[in-house]
Amino acid sequence: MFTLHYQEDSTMFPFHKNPSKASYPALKDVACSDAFTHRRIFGTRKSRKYPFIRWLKPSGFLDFRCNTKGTWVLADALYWFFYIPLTALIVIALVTIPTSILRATVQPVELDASIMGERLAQKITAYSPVLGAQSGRLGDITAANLALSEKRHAYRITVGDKSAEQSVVGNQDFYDEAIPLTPIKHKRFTFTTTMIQKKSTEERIVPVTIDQVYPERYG
Amino acid sequence: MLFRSLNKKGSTEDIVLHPLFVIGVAIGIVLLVLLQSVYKIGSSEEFEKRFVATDAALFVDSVYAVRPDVALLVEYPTGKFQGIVSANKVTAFSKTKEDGQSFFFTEDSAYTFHYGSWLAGKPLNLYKSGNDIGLGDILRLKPYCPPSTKTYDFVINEFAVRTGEDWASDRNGKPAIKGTITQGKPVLKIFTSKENEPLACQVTQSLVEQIPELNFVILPLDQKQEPTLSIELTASNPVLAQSYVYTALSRGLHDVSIS
Repeated sequence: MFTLHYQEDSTMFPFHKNPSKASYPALKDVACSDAFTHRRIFGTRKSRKYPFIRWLKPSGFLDFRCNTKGTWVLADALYWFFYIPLTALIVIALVTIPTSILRATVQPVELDASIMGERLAQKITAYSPVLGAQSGRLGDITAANLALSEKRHAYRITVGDKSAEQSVVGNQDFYDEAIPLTPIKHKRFTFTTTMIQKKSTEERIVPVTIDQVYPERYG
Repeated sequence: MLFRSLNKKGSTEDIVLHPLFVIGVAIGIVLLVLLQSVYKIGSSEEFEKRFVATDAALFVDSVYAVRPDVALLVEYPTGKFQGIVSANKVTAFSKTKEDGQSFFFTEDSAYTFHYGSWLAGKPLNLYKSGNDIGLGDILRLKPYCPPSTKTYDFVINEFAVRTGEDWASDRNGKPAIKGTITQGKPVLKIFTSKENEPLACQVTQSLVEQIPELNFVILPLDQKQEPTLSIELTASNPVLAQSYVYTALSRGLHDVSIS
């Protein structure tokens, strides 16, 4: 059994002393701090049922009216503290979103990767002036040595299984830097097929992988 | 029901619908502003230039992707902008190059790219013929000669090209190239062994460039046959063709040896 001991003073209201017997004080009868406590403890019927409505309008957000000037300043400060950053956020979004959407339309990374994949496949296809291009037959993979531009792009062509693997890399530095960061920062496109490889008199089917890495968007 | 409920103080609809309406209006305004911005940028000239430059650069990349033994000439409509195709880059602009937008393409050392420009309202014509890619209206089938490290130590006998003896021999005096030149419709037949394919290709390329409307074919030769390169050329002017052959052999041997 607890007994609460307190010292009475003139600022205390009857319901503090004996809540069961005292009637609820009206807001207009209480001091500012007690009005806030009143709202906080008892709330309103609406706010008890739907707490989010406090956020819907500024007057509902901090709905504790009191006569103290300091409390109004605090309320205003809190209101503007949220209002200004949110407004700034919306304005920035309105400016940047359209630009970024349109830049995305002129960021043909997928198309570029598809074309480059076809080019690299053509480069490693066997060719002779007598027979022309021999589709499906593997030629010299070191021929896939393209003169890369300032565009950030790298590729690696791997031929054969792990026991006898040959590979050629274009833009090695970017490839080594970008591969660990895919798919978070860069886009990776891997194309796998099989081709016929001729070694002396023997012909065999070998797997060929064309692995490309591009930035999320060009600069 | 809806309107009746709005009048009821504290009803659920009143609490939910009013804020929803406000939020809906706010989202509508935001979307309108967003669409207006999209339209503004989408119709801007800078965006169009960027689009043309990007598309043209990818177009160049696509021409590189075509198999090497194909000749083609493609017309690409570029609209109201003019542009320049320079090393690894396409630039589309209105008046000066400085106000333009650029995009990169990837070159290939196996091909020689012939740079150039196109005018506003005119299409960008891109061709591929043998080892040449570039801007122009050329549509000519030439053999594509892959880069080769093979070297030849042949001596060309210019006089023999005219008299019909062995055109070239190796350092030991063994016949290396022989051929005939006759009058008729321009046709070139080159018979070559596997090891002389790069040279045969270079000679063919050179003759195709010099003799108009020359049809050609490169055929395999049995390794045991000698010499390992045999040329049969029919031309409307055989005397002129002799000098073309000499030039072609000289260029062919030089190009193959230095590549």
